[in-house]
Amino acid sequence: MSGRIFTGDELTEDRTITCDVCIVGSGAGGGVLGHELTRRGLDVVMLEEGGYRTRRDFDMKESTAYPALYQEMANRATDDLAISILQGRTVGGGTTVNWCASFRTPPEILHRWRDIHGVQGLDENTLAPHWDWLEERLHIRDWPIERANRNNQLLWEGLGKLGYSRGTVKRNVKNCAALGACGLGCPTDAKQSTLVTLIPDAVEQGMRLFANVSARKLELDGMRVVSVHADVLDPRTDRPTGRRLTVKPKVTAVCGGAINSPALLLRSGLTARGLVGKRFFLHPVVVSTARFRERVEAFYGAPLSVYSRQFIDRGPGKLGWLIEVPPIHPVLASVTMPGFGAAHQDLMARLPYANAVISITLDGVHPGDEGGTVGLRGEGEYTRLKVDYPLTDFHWEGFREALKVAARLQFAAGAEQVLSPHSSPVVMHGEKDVALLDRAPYAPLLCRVASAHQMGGCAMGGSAKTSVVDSTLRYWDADNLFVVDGSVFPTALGVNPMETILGLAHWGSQHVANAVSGRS
Amino acid sequence: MDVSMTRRGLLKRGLFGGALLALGGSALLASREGLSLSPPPEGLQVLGPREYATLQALARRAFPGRPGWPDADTARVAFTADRLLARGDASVAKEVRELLGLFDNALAGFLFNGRVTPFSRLSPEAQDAAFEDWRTSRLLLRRTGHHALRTLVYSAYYLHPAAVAASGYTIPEGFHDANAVAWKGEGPRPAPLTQKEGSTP
Repeated sequence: MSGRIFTGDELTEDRTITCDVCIVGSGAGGGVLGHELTRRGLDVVMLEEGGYRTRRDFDMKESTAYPALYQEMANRATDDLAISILQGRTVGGGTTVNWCASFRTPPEILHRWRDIHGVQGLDENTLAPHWDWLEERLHIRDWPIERANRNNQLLWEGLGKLGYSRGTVKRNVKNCAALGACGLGCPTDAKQSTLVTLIPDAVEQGMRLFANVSARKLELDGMRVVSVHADVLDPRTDRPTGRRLTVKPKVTAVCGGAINSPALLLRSGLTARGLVGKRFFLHPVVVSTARFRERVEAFYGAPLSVYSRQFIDRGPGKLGWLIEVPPIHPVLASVTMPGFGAAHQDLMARLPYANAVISITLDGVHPGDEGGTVGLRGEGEYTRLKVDYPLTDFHWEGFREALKVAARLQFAAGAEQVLSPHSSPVVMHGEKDVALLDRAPYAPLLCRVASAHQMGGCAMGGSAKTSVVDSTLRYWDADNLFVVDGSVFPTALGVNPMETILGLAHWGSQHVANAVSGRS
Repeated sequence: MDVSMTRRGLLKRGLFGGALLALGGSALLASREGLSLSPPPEGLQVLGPREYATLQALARRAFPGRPGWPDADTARVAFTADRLLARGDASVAKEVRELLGLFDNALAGFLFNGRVTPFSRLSPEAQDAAFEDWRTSRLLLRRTGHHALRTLVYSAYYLHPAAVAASGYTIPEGFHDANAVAWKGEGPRPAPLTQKEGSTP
């Protein structure tokens, strides 16, 4: 059987279709799941709210990429705008637009999920063969320091000079020309996203993928999902066309990511006793921007290929963090860099000389750190979702210390100036100025915070009283409903989440397949 | 002061408070006319004429003339922002309109910092001070408004090709193929590209 990718412009009538499994979302979770279920001979229908964009669309322009490939045109944010949130919205989801960083889940995180949250049967040995297969298929390989761009080399040098741990990042690329455009969609298909690997593999084997189709509600009959109700969107305007697609599956897997998955459950009246949307984590990030005398050109080259976990564990009650660097393209740089008017123009005029260090904090692993909440603003299928993430003294202390470390790293690497992410930045010209960060204001929007990793909201756990899905990823209160994406993480990870989601979906596919045949 | 107010709370309380005071005799202040600009020939999809003018006034402060860089009018910042808002959620666009109304409103300006002139009619220096006052406000709601407007004008400006070029970023040539086949399951799947590996373009 040959499958097909349908886009919104082809769906000109209301349709009702049946299948074994309906997968909502086509990112790291949905893409792997669709592949594995189709490989088992199951009839799979996949719904993706975003468009079907391919390398013909990936022109390396931010003006094209953000409106077409990101949630809310890259303007998603917490309700108070204090944390901006980058999240994919296209076939392939985050794997189409992320920066290719591939890490297996840290063992201590899996141990915590077992010991604190009651997750059963999910350890590094269990996941290892799944990761082995994925790393082979997605060509996940080390990116040696010799091939790092200058932005990453500066981090590498700074880490070395200060004696901190450092490593190179594995990337899911093949024949990569290092254009630096990973976040804008790869124009050469070098990035081995689910868009160019597992999804077309699955379509060849019979999967039907409907792009520009937004799942609005799950209809239940008792303990079973009987229908997925979706709107068809116009690919040109992203507005509903008025056409509806109704899927009647034996099993439904929600894979919309850590914001849209809980939102879909909530729109469907599924709250898991108030737990849906809770324990939502963001890996909150603070950015330290430096100016060098040499050209750094952080918009070119593999964007992210060096990391340090030197500060990931600072002890009880202290927020730890992962250190990496981001690509620096004009639009993202402009909204991230401080200042206004001529002062901001001065910074942008020196963009090729800019380096940035990002401190990605590890949330959800300390007592009392429950993260944020995904909720709805009102009732009904069309109400907007709402993300809240309270930042407390616990976070601000971590951000402040992380910024000090980042500035020291940048000076060690030769920076002539470092700016903090405050709306009125702390301007540092040397190590002696780092202490100025202690006197800066730390409050929402006075110090900018961002996120590119969304996790939790449908937490996995050992009890229906404390979690949304069980240790097979099945929604506790429905027989044929699974959640297979980063929303099931009971905590954040402390590493980029893609490979954890991939592995979890590959492992979890057996449970979804079993549910189709009625086996538990 | 309630500093935990949300974005929605910002707009509701701001406008509601303004309406109450207007009823109390400040209607003239609340209705003072702001800057008037000719609308773009293509028309506006989301913003009204006054909101368009307010946003363009702010953009002119964000992007003063600088050799080698497009100014705010050349980059058509408010027009681009209007088109961006038109592609997004309608309720977000409505909130931005309300925010721009509040931002320009003379009564709101009076309540917040004592100015009695709409933002868009202030001198350039006074506009900078007014916008800065939103950034440093003790009220989270005003800082949220500052962030929203700042993000909007910067996003719109740096979508302009001349602004991108001025920042030093040049799109690598010879890699994007606008005619590449988008395979949808019909016929044979195109073979993967063979690309020489590199470290920078």
